[in-house]
Amino acid sequence: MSASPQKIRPLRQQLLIWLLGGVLMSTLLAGGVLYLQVHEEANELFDYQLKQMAVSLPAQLVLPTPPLWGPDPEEDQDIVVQAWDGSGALLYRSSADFFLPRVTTAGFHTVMLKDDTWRVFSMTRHGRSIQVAQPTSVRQELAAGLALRSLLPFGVLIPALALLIWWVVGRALAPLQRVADALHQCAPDAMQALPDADLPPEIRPLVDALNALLQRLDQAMSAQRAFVADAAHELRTPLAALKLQLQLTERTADEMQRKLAYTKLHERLDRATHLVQQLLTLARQEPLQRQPFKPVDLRGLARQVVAEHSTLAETRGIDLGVADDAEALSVPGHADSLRILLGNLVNNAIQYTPSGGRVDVNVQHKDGGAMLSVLDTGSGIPADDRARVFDRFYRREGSGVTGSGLGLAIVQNVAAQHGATVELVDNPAGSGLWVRVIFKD
Amino acid sequence: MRILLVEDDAMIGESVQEGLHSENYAVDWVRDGRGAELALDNQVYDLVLLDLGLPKKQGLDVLADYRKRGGDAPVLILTARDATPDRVKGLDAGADDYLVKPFDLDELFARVRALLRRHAGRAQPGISHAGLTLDPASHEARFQGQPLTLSAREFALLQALLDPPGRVLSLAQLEEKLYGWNEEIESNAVEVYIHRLRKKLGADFIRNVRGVGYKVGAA
Repeated sequence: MSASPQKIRPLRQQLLIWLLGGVLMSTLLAGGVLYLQVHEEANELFDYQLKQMAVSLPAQLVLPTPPLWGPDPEEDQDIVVQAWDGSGALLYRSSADFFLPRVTTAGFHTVMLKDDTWRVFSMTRHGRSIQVAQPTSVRQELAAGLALRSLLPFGVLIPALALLIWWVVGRALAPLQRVADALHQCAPDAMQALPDADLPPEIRPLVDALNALLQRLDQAMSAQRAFVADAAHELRTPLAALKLQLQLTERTADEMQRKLAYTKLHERLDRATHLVQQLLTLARQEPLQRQPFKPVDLRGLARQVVAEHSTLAETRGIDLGVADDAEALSVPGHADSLRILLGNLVNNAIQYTPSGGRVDVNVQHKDGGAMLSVLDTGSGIPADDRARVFDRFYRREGSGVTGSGLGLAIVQNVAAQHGATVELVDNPAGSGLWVRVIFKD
Repeated sequence: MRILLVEDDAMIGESVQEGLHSENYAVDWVRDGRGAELALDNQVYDLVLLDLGLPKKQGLDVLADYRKRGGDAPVLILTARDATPDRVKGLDAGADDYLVKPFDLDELFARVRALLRRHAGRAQPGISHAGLTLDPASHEARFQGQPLTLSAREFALLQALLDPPGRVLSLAQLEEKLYGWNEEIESNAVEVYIHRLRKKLGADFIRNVRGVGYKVGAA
């Protein structure tokens, strides 16, 4: 797409301008050529006429000179015939007014007489010199008239063509207008496919592409609506817990119990806050996607995330660290997104690993790409539950942990943005989960 | 009064249980559908508080099966699903009332009292019998026009015997009405409470049906 600020003419206008202009130009050109051709042919015809006239003069005829009849101003001036005998004496002249000098060489010539040019044909026959002449102005007039008459049909043709073009262009562009009208009527909350019946093959791909886009938009919006509904539903639970605890706290008279009640109140508030935080994180993944990728040092990232979670791990009695054999590998990506991904994985591992357990973050080569992994010694996830844990708001039953149900959904999202896959496998050394994020090369 | 609380969210369950305890109900709390089914087999509950989105077995299925097996305790649904079709589905499956999270504890208690009252066949909020009046909402008792001081257990015991009056309840049934699972029952506790109540209300107010249990005397 060009970002030209120039105003683009409407298609209809462009088509009309170019088509009508083109037709007009070519008609004019054709007319011009026709005019010249007809003109030239008329001249040839006139020449032929002069020659025939000279040839057809009777051989024995000797007419008196000058002729007895008076000149007819209309006809006689058109063609002037003169004849001389072998000695050069004038035998005959058809006009009293015009006398052309004798041309001795045979053939066609153009001579000047009284500000006028004449076309002259001279020949010698039976000992006589015959010379037939015609004013070129007359010839030109006749030829021009002839040529112009031959152009007459164009006068009808051009408006007819213009009308036809006008109509055809309008008709050909009508489907575009129909598509535009259908698009205008498209409501953003109920996107229907545009009608694709009776569409010319040039416009059909456009409509097909639009329909595909509309379908994707519709799916995206349905997903968005479902997500908002889910989110609203999910927010009720921590809010309900918060409200209940607040009411219980209000009722508590005992100072000791009140202290405990306040602690619980904070827990519930933290949980609601965490859910909102995770929802925001998920919502923010979208715009992040449009930022350019930069190389991210995975081992550096692992060290950073582990450092951030070290206090939490310590309070829960878990040995959290980066594996000794972690490799210095970089992948193209968004550092912030990947930090959220790893943060969620490490947080999960700490939550689901009993006190005294161990959580290792590692960066290794795998199938030519990089693998970021978190290994814990918790209870793991049963195989048939592993696909569902990525669903939004899915919480495993009996886990005893009240999470947002969004952590792994966020992980999955970020991984997908980076073209990475997330695998859940058993801890090869025994009980526990090994989450592996594998970046393709 | 013994209530079964079916709620998978630890924090909500904890708070509701604590709240109901403060209102002197005996509360058993289960966290999934399967557990709810097992508990309901006992048929000892006066009321069930049921969450719908449950692990292992959905709340609506638990409810439908419970009703199919003849369970008649009032069921109050506690859920985050507030769409009308959800409410209709819940009530049609056999629920008596529907409360949407987040809810008010006071409203929950009021609905619990109303359901228990209706279930006992009373329209009046107070329970009256032979000069004794119990107000389950305020936990106030009056006997022959005078305010009567009762402990939470004493109140609960009287309420059980008066709901409806004249029903004979065994010692075990009375214990079940008074204590939840994780509460330790002191030996002879129920007899001790009956003894105290007889002192306050007169020896004939609570009568022993030999070999069966206890009931309140006719008015």
